[in-house]
Amino acid sequence: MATTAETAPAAIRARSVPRGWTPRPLAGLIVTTAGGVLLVAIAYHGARLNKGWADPVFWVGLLLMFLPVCFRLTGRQASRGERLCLVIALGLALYSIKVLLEPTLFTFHDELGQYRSAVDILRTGSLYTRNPVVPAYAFYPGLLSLTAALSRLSGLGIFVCGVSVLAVARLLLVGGLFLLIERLSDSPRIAGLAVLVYAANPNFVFFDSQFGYESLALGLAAMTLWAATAVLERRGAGLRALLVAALLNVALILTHHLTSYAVSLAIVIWAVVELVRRRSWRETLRLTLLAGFSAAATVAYAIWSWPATVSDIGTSVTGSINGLISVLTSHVATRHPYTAVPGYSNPVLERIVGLASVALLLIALPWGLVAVWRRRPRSTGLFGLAACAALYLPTLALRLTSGGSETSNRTSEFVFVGLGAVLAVAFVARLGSRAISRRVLRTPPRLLATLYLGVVFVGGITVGNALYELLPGNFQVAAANRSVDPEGVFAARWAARLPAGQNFLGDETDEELFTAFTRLSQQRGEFNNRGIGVLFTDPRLNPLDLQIISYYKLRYLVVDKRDSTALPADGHYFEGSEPVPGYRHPVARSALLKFGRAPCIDQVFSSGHLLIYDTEPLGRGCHEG
Amino acid sequence: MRARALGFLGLSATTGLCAAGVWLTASGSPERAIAAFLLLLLLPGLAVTRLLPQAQDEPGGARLLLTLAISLAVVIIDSAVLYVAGIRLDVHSWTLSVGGITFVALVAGLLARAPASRGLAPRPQLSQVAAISAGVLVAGALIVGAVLTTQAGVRAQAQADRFTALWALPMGQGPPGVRIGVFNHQGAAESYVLSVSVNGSPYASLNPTVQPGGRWETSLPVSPRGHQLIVRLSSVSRSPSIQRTVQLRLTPTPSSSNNLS
Repeated sequence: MATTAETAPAAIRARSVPRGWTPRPLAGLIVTTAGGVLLVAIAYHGARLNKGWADPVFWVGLLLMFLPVCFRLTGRQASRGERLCLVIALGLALYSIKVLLEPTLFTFHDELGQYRSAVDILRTGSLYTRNPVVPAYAFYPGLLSLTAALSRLSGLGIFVCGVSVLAVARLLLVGGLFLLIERLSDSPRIAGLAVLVYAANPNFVFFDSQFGYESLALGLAAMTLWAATAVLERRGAGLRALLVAALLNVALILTHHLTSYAVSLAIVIWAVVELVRRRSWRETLRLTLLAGFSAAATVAYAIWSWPATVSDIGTSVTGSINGLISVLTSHVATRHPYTAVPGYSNPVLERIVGLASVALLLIALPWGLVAVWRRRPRSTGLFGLAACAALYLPTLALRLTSGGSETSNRTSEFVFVGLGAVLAVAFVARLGSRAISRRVLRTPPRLLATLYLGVVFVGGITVGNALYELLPGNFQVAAANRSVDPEGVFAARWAARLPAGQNFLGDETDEELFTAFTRLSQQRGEFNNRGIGVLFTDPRLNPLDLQIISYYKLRYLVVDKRDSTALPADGHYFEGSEPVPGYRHPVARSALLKFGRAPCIDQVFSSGHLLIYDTEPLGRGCHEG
Repeated sequence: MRARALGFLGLSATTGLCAAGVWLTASGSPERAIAAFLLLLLLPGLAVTRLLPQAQDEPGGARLLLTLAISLAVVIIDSAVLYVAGIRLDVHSWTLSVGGITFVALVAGLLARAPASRGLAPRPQLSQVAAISAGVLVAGALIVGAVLTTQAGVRAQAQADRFTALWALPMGQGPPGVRIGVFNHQGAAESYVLSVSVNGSPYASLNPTVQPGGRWETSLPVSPRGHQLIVRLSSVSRSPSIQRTVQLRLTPTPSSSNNLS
C-alpha cells in the first residue's frame, strides 16, 4: 500500500495524475456517452410503439454511457480535467434519459405536486402557499422559487425552466461530489470512481432527476460540503470562504429538509472531530463557526416548518421503525426485498442483477473500509465518509419491511456518498498496486472493476425502479408515470375551470394530475376505519358512500373506467385505501359507473375513459329516486 | 487593476443589458430567455466569485461550478427575503433585486483588495482544442438525433391516444344557461351530432365540426324552470362510433314539465 502512487504524499500523488488535457480519449468518450443517449432515445421510440426490442436496446444504451467511462476512470492515464469532464458528461447524460422519458410535461408523483406549488408562486407572487399534496413542498421553496423566477423572467413554461434548473443541479451534484472527494482524498482518480459508484445508487437516474426539491438539494449539498472543506483548508482565504459555505448552506436549508439535516450533522460532527484531533480551536475556528451557524439555522428552520415537515417524513420514519419491530418480533412476514414497488416484481433477470448489485457492494464494503484505514488520509473527512458508508448495512435491513423500504430507498442518496468514496479507495488501492504495475497486467483487473461497476449500476436501477417506470408506452393502470396520458392531462387541464377550493376524489393518478393543474383540493383519509377510496369499490351507491361524500365535502368525483380493466401495477388504485393483502380482481366497472346511475349526481365531463361527477345537487337537497 | 476595472464594466453592462432584455423584450422570446438565464443562473455567481481570492485559484471547472451554485443560492435566498419583506414576487422585484445584488457584489469586488492569484492555469494547445471540439460536435449531433427521435416517438404516441371529450357546466353569471364544449383529439377533423334535451324533451340539436386538437364551445340559455339537461354526443363516421353523455340538474326543485326557454 505505502508504495503505491495513490497512497504517497500529496505532492507525489499530484504528479501521478497527468496534468493538462488528454483530448482524444475524452473526445471519444463524450461521443460514446452521447451515443448511449441516442440508443436510449431509440429504445424509448420503440417502447412508445410497443416494440419488443426496446427493453434490451435501453440497457445497451445505458451501458454504452456508463462502461467506457468506467474503464477510462479506473486507469491512471486520464488527467484531472478529463476525469471531471467525464463524470459531468456522464451525469448529464444520465439526467437526459429522464428528460427524454417524459419530454413534454412532469409526470412523476413528486413532480406534479411541486408543479402545483410553482404555479401557486406565479399566481400569488408569494411563497408558502399551502400544498394539498405534500405540505412540506411549500415550506421548502428553493426549487420552486428558482423555477418560478426563471419562468417569470424568461416567459418560458415551468416545465422548461424546471428541467433547466435541474440540469444545473445535476451538474453541481456530480461536479461537487468530485471536488469534495478529491479534496478529502487528495486523488482525482478516487474522486472520479467515487462519483461512478454514486451514480449507481437506486435513485440517481430517475428519482434524483425529477422535478423535486431533493434533486436540487443534493447539488447544493455537494457544493456546501466542498465549500466547507475550503473553510478548513484555505487558511489565507479569511472569512470569505466561510461566507460562501454559509450562503450555500442557507439556500440548502430553504430547499430540502432531510438533505439540510444530513449536511448540518456532517459539518457539526466534522468540526467536533477536527477540534479533538487538532486540539487547537484557532485552527478550526472557521469550521466551528460554520458548524454552529449551520446547526442553528437548520434547527430554527426545522422548528418553524415542523408541522409540514413531519407530515412528509414522519410517516415514513415511524413506518420504518414499526415495520422493523414487527419483523423482528415475527408479527408480520418480511417484505420481498429489493423490489422497486410493493406488490410488483421485476422480471427474474432484473431481480437477479438487483440482488447481485447489493451482494457486490456488501462484499466490497469491508475491503474498502480497510483500504481507507490503511490509507491514513490527511483529512478526517474521508473517515467520515467511511462511517457514512458503514450505514449501508443497517439501511438494507429496512428493505425487509414495507414501511422501511421507502426510508431505505430515500437514504441511498446519502449513504452512497460514503460508499462511493470507500469503494473508490479500495479500487485504487487494488488497481494501483505494484504487483500489477505493468500496463498489460493492469487491463484485466480494470475490466473486472468495470464489470463490477456495471452490475452495480444496472442493479441499482432495477432495485430502485419498476420496469414499467423505465420505459414509456401505452397507458397502464396505477403504474406511476405510465398512467399519465393525454386524456388524463386534458381532463385535469379542463378541470381548472371548476370552482377553486372544492374537494375532489379520484384514483391516485387523477388526484396527482388534478392537484397539479387545478385549484381543487384532493382529499385523503379514513371513514369508519376504511380508506375513503372505498367509495369507488362497491357496485352500488350505499349510505356509507353518501356519508363519505358528505363528511369530506366531496364536490367532484373523478373516475377512470380503465381501472376496471387491470389490477394496479403498483398495488393500489387509491392512496391509502387498499384491501389487505391486495386486490385479487380489478375494481368492478359497475362500482366506477354507479355515480352515473345515482340520483342527484351530475356527470359534467366525459372523455370516454374519464368521467367527472358533480355531487353539488346532493348538497342542495336534491331528493330524486 | 485595469483588468479588474474592465471586468467590472463588462459584467455591469451585461447585467444591465440582461435586466433591460427581461423588461423590454417579448415574453418567451429567445433573447428574453437568454437574458433571464444569464441574469439568474450566471451573473450573480460571477459577481460574487470575484470577491473570493480562492475562487480565482480554482481550475476552470471548479470555478464554473462555484459560480453556478452561488447564483442559485442568491436567487433562492433573495426570493425568501422578498417574501419576508412583503414584496410581491414578480418580474420587477426579481429583476431589480437580483440585478442589484449582482451590481453590489461587482462594486465590492472592484473595491476589495486584489486577489492573490497563483497565476493562470496552462491553456490547452490548439490541437487539443480541435480534438475535443470535434468530439463535442459529434456528440452534439448524436444528441440532436436523440431529440428528434424522441419528438417523433412522442408525436406518434400522441396520435395513437385518441379521444373525444364532451362537457357541460352551468353558466356562473348572467342569464341562466349552460355552457357546452367538445374537444377533438381523434387525429382528424370530426363532425359531431349533439342532441340536447331538457327534462326529457328534445331542446336543441347541434352539428359542430371540430379540427384535430381543436375545441368547440357554445352557450345555451335554459329556463330556470328547466330541471334536468342531458347532452348526448355522437359521431357515426368512426368505427366504433363515439358516444358521450353528460347531464346537469339545473334547479333545486324537480319539475316534470318541459319548460324550455
